[in-house]
Parts: sequence; C-alpha cells; structure tokens
Amino acid sequence: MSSPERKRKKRSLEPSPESTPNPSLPDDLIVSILARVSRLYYPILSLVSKSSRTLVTSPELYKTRSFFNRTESCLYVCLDFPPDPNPRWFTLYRKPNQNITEKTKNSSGFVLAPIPNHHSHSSSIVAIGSNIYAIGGSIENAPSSKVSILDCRSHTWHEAPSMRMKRNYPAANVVDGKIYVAGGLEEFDSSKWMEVFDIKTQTWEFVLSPLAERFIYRSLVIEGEIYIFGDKVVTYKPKEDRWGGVGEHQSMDLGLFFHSYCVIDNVLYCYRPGGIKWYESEKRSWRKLRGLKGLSKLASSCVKLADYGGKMALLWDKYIPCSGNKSHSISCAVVSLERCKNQGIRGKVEWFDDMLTVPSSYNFVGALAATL
Amino acid sequence: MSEGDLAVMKPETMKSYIWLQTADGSIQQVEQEVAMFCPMICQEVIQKGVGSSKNHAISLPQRVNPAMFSLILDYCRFHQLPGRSNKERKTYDERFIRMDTKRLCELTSAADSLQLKPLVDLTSRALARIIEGKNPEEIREIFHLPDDLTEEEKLEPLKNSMDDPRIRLLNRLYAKKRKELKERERLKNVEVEEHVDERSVDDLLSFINGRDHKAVKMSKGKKKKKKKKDQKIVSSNNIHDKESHDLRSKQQCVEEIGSSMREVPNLLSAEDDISTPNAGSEDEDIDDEIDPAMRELLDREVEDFAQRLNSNWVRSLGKERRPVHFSINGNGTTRRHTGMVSIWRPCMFTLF
Repeated sequence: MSSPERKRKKRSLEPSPESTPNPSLPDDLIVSILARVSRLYYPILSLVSKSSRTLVTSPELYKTRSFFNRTESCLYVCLDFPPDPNPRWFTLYRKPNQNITEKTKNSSGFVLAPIPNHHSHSSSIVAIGSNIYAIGGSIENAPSSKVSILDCRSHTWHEAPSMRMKRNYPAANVVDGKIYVAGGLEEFDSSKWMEVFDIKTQTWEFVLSPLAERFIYRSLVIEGEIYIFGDKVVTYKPKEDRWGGVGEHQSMDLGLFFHSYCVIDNVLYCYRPGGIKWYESEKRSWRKLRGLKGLSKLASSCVKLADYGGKMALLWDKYIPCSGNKSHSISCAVVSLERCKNQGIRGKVEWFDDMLTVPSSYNFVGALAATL
Repeated sequence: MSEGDLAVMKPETMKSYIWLQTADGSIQQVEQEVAMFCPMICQEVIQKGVGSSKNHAISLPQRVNPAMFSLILDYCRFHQLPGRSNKERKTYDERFIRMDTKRLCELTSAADSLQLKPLVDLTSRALARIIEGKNPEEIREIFHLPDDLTEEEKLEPLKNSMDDPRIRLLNRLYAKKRKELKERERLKNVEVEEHVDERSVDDLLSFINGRDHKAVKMSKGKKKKKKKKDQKIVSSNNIHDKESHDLRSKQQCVEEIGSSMREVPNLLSAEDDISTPNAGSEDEDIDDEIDPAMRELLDREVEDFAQRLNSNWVRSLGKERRPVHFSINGNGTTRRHTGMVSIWRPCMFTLF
C-alpha cells in the first residue's frame, strides 16, 4: 500500500495552477530577492513603488546584503565646483529606463548620478565599509578639524568626532579599519603631526611620529604600511608601530604623477601620459600595464584611479571642443586586472563611457569605492 | 485503512513515508528522507509527531500548491542523495530554475514557507538576475507592487542636484532683496524702494546668467589678486562687499554651470539623446598647435604644486586656502616651462 506509485495519486486533481493569480511574495522574501540585485540597479528599484523606494535606502536591506555576502564595491566620485564651497558627490549606477533590447552599441548603460545630499566642506576623503569619511579640509577658507560621514546606504551625512587638530587637506589613509591622518597643520608640530581615528571607540589619538614631514604631496598604503611622500619619503606600519624611510623605494615616488594613482591588492598603479604603469616592488621599477585595448587614446591632465573592488576605475576629463573650452567631459572606464605568467599584470577594459559634462573650472577631488 | 496505519507504524516503514496535505486538501505520501529535507516538515515530524498516518497528515502552508510541491520534491529528491559532485548539483540547479518568472515566484514563495533555504537562495538569485534586466513597470508586475509613486516622485531620483547652486543663489538673492526692502521700508526711503521694485525675476536671472560682464570682470580681478592680505582686509572691512563678492563669484560659477551642466540630468535617462563624444574615438582634437590637453596638464601640475605650497604658504599669508583654483581656472593662463613641453609632448601621444 505504501508503494511509491501511490504517493502522487491525487496530484492530477489540480491540473492548472496557472488559474490562480501570481501570489504576492511576503515582504521579507522581496527583501531577500532585492538584496541580491546589484546595487547598480537600485535607482531603477526606487522607481517601482513607494515601498521599494523606502527599501533601497533601508538599513534592513543592506544588512540582508551583507548577510548573504552580496556586498559589492560602489564607486563614488567627488567634484568641486568653485567658488561653490560644497563639493558634489556622484555615484555609479545603471541608467534607469534602459531598454535592454535596444541598447546602443556605444552606450555602456552606466551613469554617474548625483547623490541628493552634499556636505558643507571640501576635504580629504577615505572609505571604510559603507561609509565615506570627509576629513579636515577647509571651511570658509580656514583649516578644519571637522569629520563628516557619508552613509552610502541612505546617502545621508552625519558628523563624526572631530580631529584633535585642525588640518588642511591632511593625508588620510586607512589601515586595519583605522583612519590615519597626517599633516595639514597650521603650525607645524611633529608631536601632533599624525592622529588616528578608531571607528570602534570613535576616538582620535595622536600617533607619536619621529619622522614627521612638513609638506605632504601624496600618500598611500601598501601591505598595511603607510607611505607618505614629502621632501623625503616616510613610512609607518601601524601594526608594528614601525617608522622608516623608504630609500630603496625612491623610484616609487619618482614614477608617480600628480594624484593619478591608486593601490589595488597591494599593487601601486599610476597613470602617466601614455599609459598606466604599476610598481613592481621586487624589482623596484615601474612596468607598463598591458592590455587596455579599448582605451585607444587617453591623454588627459586629470586622470583619477581608484580601487573599485579589485578592479580599476579610471576617470579622466577632456575638453569639449565645441564648448569654447568652457566645459569638460568626464569619462569613466572599468578595468579588470589579472596577473600573467611572466609576472606582469594585464588590464582588460570592461567598459568605458562618457559620464558627465562639467564646467572647466571644476576640481576633481577624488574617486573611491565604498562597500555596500 | 487501519491496516495501512498499522503498516506505516512499523518501524521500517515509518522511516520510509510521511503523509502530507497540500492547501487544496489533497493528501500524498512522500519518502521520509525526501520530505525531511524540508526543515518545516522535519520540525513538524519531530516536534509534533505528525505525518505518520493519513489521518495525521502534515498540513503544508497555504503557499505550497501541489504543482510547486511536486517541483520542490524533485529538488529535494536530487539533493538529499549523497555523493553528488558540486558540478552535478550546479548543473541540476541551473536546469531546475529554467521556468517563467511567475512560476519562479511561486516556487520561491513555496520553498520559503517550507524553510528550504538552499532553494530559496537559488530562486531568489535567479529572480534577482531577472530583475536586473527589467524596467520599473515589469518589476512592479513581478512583485505585485502598487504603482503608487506620483509622476513627480518618479522624476525625483533623476533630479539634477546641479541645479542647486542656482536655486540657492536665487534664494539668497531674494532673501537679500527682501532684507534690503524691509530695511528701506523702515527708513521710508521711497526712491530706493522703487528701484528695488524694478528688479524683476528676469533681471535677477539675467544677472545670474552672467550678462553683467562688469561684475564678472570684477570678481575675476579680485580673484587674481595676489596679495591675499588686501583681499582679507577688503572682505573683513566690509561685510556687505564681501557678500556681493561672494555672489559675483557664484554668478560666475552659475554662468558656467548654466552653459554646460544642464546636460547632467539627461544623463540619467537613456531616452534623452545626448551627443556624448566617444571616449575611444580616434579623431580627438588633442593634436593642436597649442594642445589644450597639454596646456591643461601643465596647468594642473602647476596648480597641484601650487596647492601643496599654498597649504603652507597660505598659512602665513592669510585665510585664502585655495587661490590656485581661481588663478588657474579663471582664465586658463599657463605658466608653463618651455623645456617641460618638449619633454612632455612626446609622451602625450604615446598611445596605449
């Protein structure tokens, strides 16, 4: 009687499940589905209904994303439009209303969309997790100790504890979830030259710095070690509380060009007119990044590189000839990177496109990726 | 029937089958190891001791219709067997979710009510991928969400925040005018009041749009001032003057924004045809005699350097933090070193 053939004996009584309307899914299920949708599509979701609009900025959704390990890197771009003191923030999204079937050949389908809120001053910027920290800088032409946080989930700003010192565009770097800021002091004082913000305790502490550099041109982090380039090169490894010079890596600095550099997976990349190079620390030399076929010409004075979740985001501007040199267009490319057999690194252009048109008086503050 | 009940109560058969009832009332027997793959059924059996007989069949949740339940059993039957390779499982899963969106929704819902997490994961991922290619209208349909956003609200995320400075400026101008008006009314100065009345919105707009070249020149001139101290004195001595200077600077910004930034909102909508020059186009006009990109490159380098210097330099001089923004961008003057050009130029046209 309990033969397997009998187990489905009554199933045929309901031949047409299609007769019932599609049952609406419970809310938590919708959350769990939308949490798996790439954040690039969230502007589209915000056009669906009131509930979905609320949902895409809710902490609940982002909690679910991280629970499902669905967090992804989201690109943010900060531009200054002087004399407006407020920098503008943009983030990379998919274009809403993009008709997939009619996608034009030239359109990447990406857009740098302005985020609705902006904070009140220009500053140094770093990202930790889903937050972007705007640190120091100038408010009404005076150095500031202010620290603002952009919560990239809801695109709202709030204040973090201020630094101990007022700092004018300090070098800000993140090591092990702590923010190390250096320089930018009004009165040079090596004992107050560096301070660190612990996001867990929400406190700023000074870092004793025997090798303070008065002027900082650029800074970066490789393998948990902060490199600060001034007249000399100073390194600091917080984990070991070890300070050092960087004599052997002098060529690292020489190859750097403005602020067109970034560190991805502990490899330093830099744009120089003609191409992108990467620093091979074993050989202490710069090597050309191969590949990049899609970017046939990239000659711009303003190129920004950013670690975009292990890929490289490249942003550059160029004159719009017909605008009488009054406008620039900002373009973006995403390049995936892979190690080759010969120890080299190859880049592959995933896409590139024009993103924004801006007045030529703009300043490119920076580009960075938050994890959401 | 009673015989049957007895039969399933025998230990060896008890392990084999579980009685389940779907929402439509139909009852069926399912191999225990398959049914128990669903945590919800497993809990019922363990906690309530039901499912061992037809009379004590486990009632499945409303959301599990017979068609979906049969699919879910297929899934369980495949996955509960040990010894399958990950590749096999993956291939099976991929094939398993090949169905239309409506059925996929039903399946997700049913699997969710049976707490069958791996299947919910699978179908949710599939639905997420489907949604990534859909427009708002289609997503609304999939989830049965109401179209409750007004047309205005739908435009909101596309709104151009670039309009802000203009609006802010306008508001500030209005506020200023209102303040002046009040002041003057209090002073009962009829002449001035008439003058104020003449300033229509159009006038303000034309002022903002930069037709008042005198003002622009003035602000540029001011910005060019190298002596920061002077500027500081001017601005601190006369607050009103500072304010108008501020406004003129704003105006310049707006002038530029006005001419170019209007495109920004359009970028968000694919329907709007913006002629975006292709980044990869070969006919880029960078090969001029004076090569703007080159000039700019040098400008930026100078600017960058100046900015660095300024951050210290300025400390001693005054409060102007970023004068380079103005001096470089204001008129595009170049302070390039001829030697540098000859060095840089060959690099510039080396292509990737």
